[in-house]
Amino acid sequence: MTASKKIGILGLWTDPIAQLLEDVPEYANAHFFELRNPEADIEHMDSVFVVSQQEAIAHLNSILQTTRPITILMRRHNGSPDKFLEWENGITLLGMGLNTENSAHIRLAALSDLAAAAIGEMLNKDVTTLQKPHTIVGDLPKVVIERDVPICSFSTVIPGKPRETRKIDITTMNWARLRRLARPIVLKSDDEDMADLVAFSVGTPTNQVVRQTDGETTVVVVVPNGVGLGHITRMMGIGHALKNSFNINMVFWSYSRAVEILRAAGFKVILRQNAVHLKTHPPSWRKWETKEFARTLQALDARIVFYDGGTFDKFLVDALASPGCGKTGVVWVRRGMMRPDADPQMLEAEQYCDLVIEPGDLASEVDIGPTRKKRPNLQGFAEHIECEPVTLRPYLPAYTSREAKKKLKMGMGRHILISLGGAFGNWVELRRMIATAASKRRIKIVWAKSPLAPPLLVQDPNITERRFYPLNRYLAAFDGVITATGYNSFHELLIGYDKPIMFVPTNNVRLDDQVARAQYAESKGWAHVVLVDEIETQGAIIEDFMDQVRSRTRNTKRPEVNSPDKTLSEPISKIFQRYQKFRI
Amino acid sequence: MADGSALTDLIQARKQILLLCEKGRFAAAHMYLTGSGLPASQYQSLWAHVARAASGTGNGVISQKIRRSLWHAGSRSQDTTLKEAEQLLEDGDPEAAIFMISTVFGENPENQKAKHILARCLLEQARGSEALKAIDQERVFALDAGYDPKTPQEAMTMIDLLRLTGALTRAEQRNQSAIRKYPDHSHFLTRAARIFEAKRDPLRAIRVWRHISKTVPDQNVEARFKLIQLLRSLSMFHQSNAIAAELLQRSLSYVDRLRLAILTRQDDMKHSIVKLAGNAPNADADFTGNAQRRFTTLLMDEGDLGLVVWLRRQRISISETTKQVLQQTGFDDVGTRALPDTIEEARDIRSPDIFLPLADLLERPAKPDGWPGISPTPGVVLLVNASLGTGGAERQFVELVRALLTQGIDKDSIHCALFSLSTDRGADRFLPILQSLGVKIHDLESPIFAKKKLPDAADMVCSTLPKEMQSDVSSLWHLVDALTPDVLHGWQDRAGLAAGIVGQLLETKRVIFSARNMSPLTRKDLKLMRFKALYKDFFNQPNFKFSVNSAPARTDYSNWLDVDEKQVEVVRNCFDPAQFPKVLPQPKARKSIRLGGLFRFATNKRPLLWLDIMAALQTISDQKIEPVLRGRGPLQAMIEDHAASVGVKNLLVETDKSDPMELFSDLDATLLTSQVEGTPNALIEAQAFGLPVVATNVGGVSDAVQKTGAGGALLLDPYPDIMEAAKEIAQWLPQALLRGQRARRTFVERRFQPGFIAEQVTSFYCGSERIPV
Repeated sequence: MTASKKIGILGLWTDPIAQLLEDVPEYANAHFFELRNPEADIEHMDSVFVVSQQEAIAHLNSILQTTRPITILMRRHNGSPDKFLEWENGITLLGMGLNTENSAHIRLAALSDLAAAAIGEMLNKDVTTLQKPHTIVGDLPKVVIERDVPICSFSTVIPGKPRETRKIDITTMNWARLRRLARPIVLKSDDEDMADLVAFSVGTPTNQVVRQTDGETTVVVVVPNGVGLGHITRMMGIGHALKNSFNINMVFWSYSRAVEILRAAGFKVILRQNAVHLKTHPPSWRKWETKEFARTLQALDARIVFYDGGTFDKFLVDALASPGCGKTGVVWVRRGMMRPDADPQMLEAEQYCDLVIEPGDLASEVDIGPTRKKRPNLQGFAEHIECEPVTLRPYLPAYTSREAKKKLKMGMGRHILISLGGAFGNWVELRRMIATAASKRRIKIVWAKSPLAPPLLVQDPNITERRFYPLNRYLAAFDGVITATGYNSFHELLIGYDKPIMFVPTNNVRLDDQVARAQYAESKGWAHVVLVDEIETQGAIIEDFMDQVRSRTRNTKRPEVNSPDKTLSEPISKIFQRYQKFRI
Repeated sequence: MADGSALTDLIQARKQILLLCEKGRFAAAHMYLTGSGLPASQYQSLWAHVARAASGTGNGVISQKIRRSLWHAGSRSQDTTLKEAEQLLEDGDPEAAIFMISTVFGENPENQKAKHILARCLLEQARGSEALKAIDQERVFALDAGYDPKTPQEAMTMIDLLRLTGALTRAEQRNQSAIRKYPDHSHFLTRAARIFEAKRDPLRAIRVWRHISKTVPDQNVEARFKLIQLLRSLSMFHQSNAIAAELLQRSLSYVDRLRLAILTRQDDMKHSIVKLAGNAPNADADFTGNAQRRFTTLLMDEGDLGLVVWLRRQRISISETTKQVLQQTGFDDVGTRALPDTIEEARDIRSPDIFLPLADLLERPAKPDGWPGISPTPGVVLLVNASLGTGGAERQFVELVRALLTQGIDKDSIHCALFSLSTDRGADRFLPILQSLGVKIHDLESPIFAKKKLPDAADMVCSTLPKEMQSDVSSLWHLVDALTPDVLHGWQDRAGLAAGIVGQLLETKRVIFSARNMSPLTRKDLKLMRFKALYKDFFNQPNFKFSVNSAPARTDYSNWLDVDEKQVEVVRNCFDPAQFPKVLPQPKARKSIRLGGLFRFATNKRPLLWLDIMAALQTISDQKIEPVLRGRGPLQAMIEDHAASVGVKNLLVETDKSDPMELFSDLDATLLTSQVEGTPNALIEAQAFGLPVVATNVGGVSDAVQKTGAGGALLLDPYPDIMEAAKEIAQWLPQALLRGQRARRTFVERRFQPGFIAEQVTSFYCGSERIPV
């Protein structure tokens, strides 16, 4: 395998032309690096691309001193009358500055024949035209690009839906990605530079494009957890679903400490530290993380970034805007059932996405949160699908009761599992009632401990704790489960488990509407529900639950649900095709 | 004690003291002196000896103590005084040193050493003051009179003192003799160049800097910077760019690269260098504390607050002054303003833009509708201009004052303030005329306006302005605060901007900004263009009026600032018929035509184009064309060369004429080929003499000439084809020479009537309805 060429970018790292280079035949398969200290950095590159004549004159000495091949992109004027003189003078200065013997390694280029001719005439030097990328075929929405107007409106048709008008903050977009999602156009004729950029990004039609269809396709999954397992669990579920349909290499970019769980499940992991872990100034951390993530995307040649979380951290957005990261789609796995008072601002991250997947929620009928009721101001090109509920159940066979009990070292008798997560309400009293009711019926309590939580220094002999993961594999060991109503627990239990369940939802420090979820399950007769602030009813519900456990009651009302494999296959395939590698 | 014993004690003590001195034990010797009963008042020579010995071996502190004691004892020996004064100067107390020197040697010492020390003291004071005229010039002249420097340093002291007190001609003379005396000292060469520059003689300055760039290796880069600056000031961009390009090829320090970017007004290059300095400060080995502070100060001087804040966040060092400014403006860690995370955010945070509207920054309550209303009389009017140097706008400044007085405004109600009236800088050309009008004239270079302290709000605004504006605003603020005029009228852009700011700071009733040329965009004045937001902010003030001097300029400014043309008044130039005798040429058959060009020999006037057209005209015209150029400027040599190369015959170049009769009476017509013009006085005056005029139709030219009728001018394309232009002139000229003389005179008398203009301006001062032009 040949090593990729290292191309140093001198100038604004997120300049549209820097972003478009990866589609330029000359720079195919190159890796791009930001030259922050040109004098030192240039020598580590195979060649250097200077994004403008102003950057060239700022670093002319370094450019002249090196022997590395240098391409200086000569830009036309941006239409601002106040900047014309500066632009004109910049060209003159560069022309004069290059009148020296050691400039043979320097190529002057422009984005169009017109630009090359005009600037060549000004300089009285040869200016070549940069070879354009190929035109992306397809019926793409037109987006009008105007410098200094960051928010663009455009009209689009999502399959199966009427035409709608959408907006996007174009300054956050990687132009290599943009040209796959839209057809940029420019209206202002006096902004010649923008006209050149847009025409360049549209490219030249060719039938010489050969798509690379063989081999593994790498996707990167970003999970934000510090201590929880919810996001990982869901993404592993999606990961398994995708592996059933595609030849993919799935790599987790994880802040979660659950690295070993991921590895044990057969996924590759890049463990990361966040600003809190490192005790650093968050903006400094963010800059670092942006660079690292961008480098990783380039190195892995990732086709899709999946993100499972509330909203996007800026490092993700900034990294995707980096040169070399434009052939990467973005899929946001975003739960529904958010609390009605959740800040709808978080929805604005849709504009960064190709696709928003809402993992199905059995309680979606009662979803009145912002994902259901609100629409972001900036939706970008994102399509939306809702798939079947995502759990690990279809992909990881459950243990039998005997196997599970043996693995968990549980003895004979009735056992209930209590898995309640974070603190809430009057927990002490609730715990007492549960313990009393269980004890009366000779039901043993097993407390679920997160695999990530540190072990207690002193074990209480009266408390039975077990760490295990994932939940669904071991459920057969338990005659009943008491749990909070997070997405994973809710669905792991209701799909494929027929024993008594008691939900104890909390809406404290949670984004999702656990109460609504739990109450829906209750209304369907799927489970008991204890609300922490309804003390007067708790006792009776707990007693009834325990009775059912004791009597081995089975619940036959719970739904049967398919895996999301089929539903996810087509939209993900579309994204793979959109960003497919090619050669000319 | 018996006398004999006392004498023995004295001898013993003296012996002991001398022994201690020999051994270098001066502290002990001093103690002995003070404890021995040998008072300084009686044993001056002994005390002086110890002081000298201590000083000679580097024991300055003890030496100084002894000298102080001698001084207190009334011992005022010359030697001791000189040493003590020198010590005081080195300790940073020039005032005390001056006192000692003056006490012993008099106000104007004859002793050369005393003169030198006194000169150093005065120089120190002059450097410490922000006022050019902080030091009494007469005193300096008196000191200069008998000053005989024996060393290069002594020579430099007086040269610098003369420079700092504005006596540039004297400084030049001293410097010339120093160059002859110390030919190997490059410092005198650099001084020569700086003196020429200060005297507004860029050509000579350029010559010297060129010489320095070739002959003084350690001044090579600095000389090139000066050349770039001076050549740009003369619009000689090609030559300036060539030098800049050569510097760009070099490995320069971050500071020098930034200076180059600022000098060439390459903002994008500047941002790139700032980014480099912030991201890789160690890549420049010289980019340590002082250099970092200089770097950030350069940016502050340009108004680039945001970039400085960003650099500070990258741990780049800033000066205490900069820290204070950032704190005052809320750009520190505990301030109210959002700090930029990226350089892209930082570059948009610029002064004065981010502080606009000024009214909001100053937290002034809104004025009631209709304020300031209409006044029956203008009240006290303060007119402000940069100087009274040679220039059409400066002359017009004086003519406006004359017209206002003729209109009936009392001379005690009119005050004029000039940022400079330096003779040596040529800033006082029209001063005698203005003085003759009897109005009060204020020199803003005077020390009384250069007080450092402004009140907090004004200080905050002023300290954030780009450096070139700070002293203008500060000195004008003090004058306006003292005078409290009803009207503040800024003439030309520099004064207009300062007046606009000061008018808001002090809530002056009415502020008038009279631009006297095309917009900075059309003039390609990058320095002024960056104040666009400030110009625009003025238009939002109810008491603000903006005027230009031609209709095309009105359109130009309106387009540039994106304001309604109705918000821009046209106040044309004044033409005083009394100064231009009505001498109209008689139509007659001519054997030859004297075609004149009256303009500054500068790039903007395109003298080479003028010559090209002349050469073409000479080849096609039936009549003999005699070209005459009257003016002066940096391109004179180039003009003569070019004339020869294109074959212009019989060119007459005259540089010493200034009287209108001398300038125009022997001409038959005039040609002006400028690239940019405001309202060209040369065309107005030529028409006043009845002469036909031809000009490239740029800027306010079309507004300044009669366009139609018998006296109509010929307007050429702004970028004319040479032969086409020559043909047009050849075709038009014969008829134009025969008629229209009176019409042209009448045109200028009517269009540029002082009375009307005074009426217009007075209406601005009173706030009454605009008078349509």
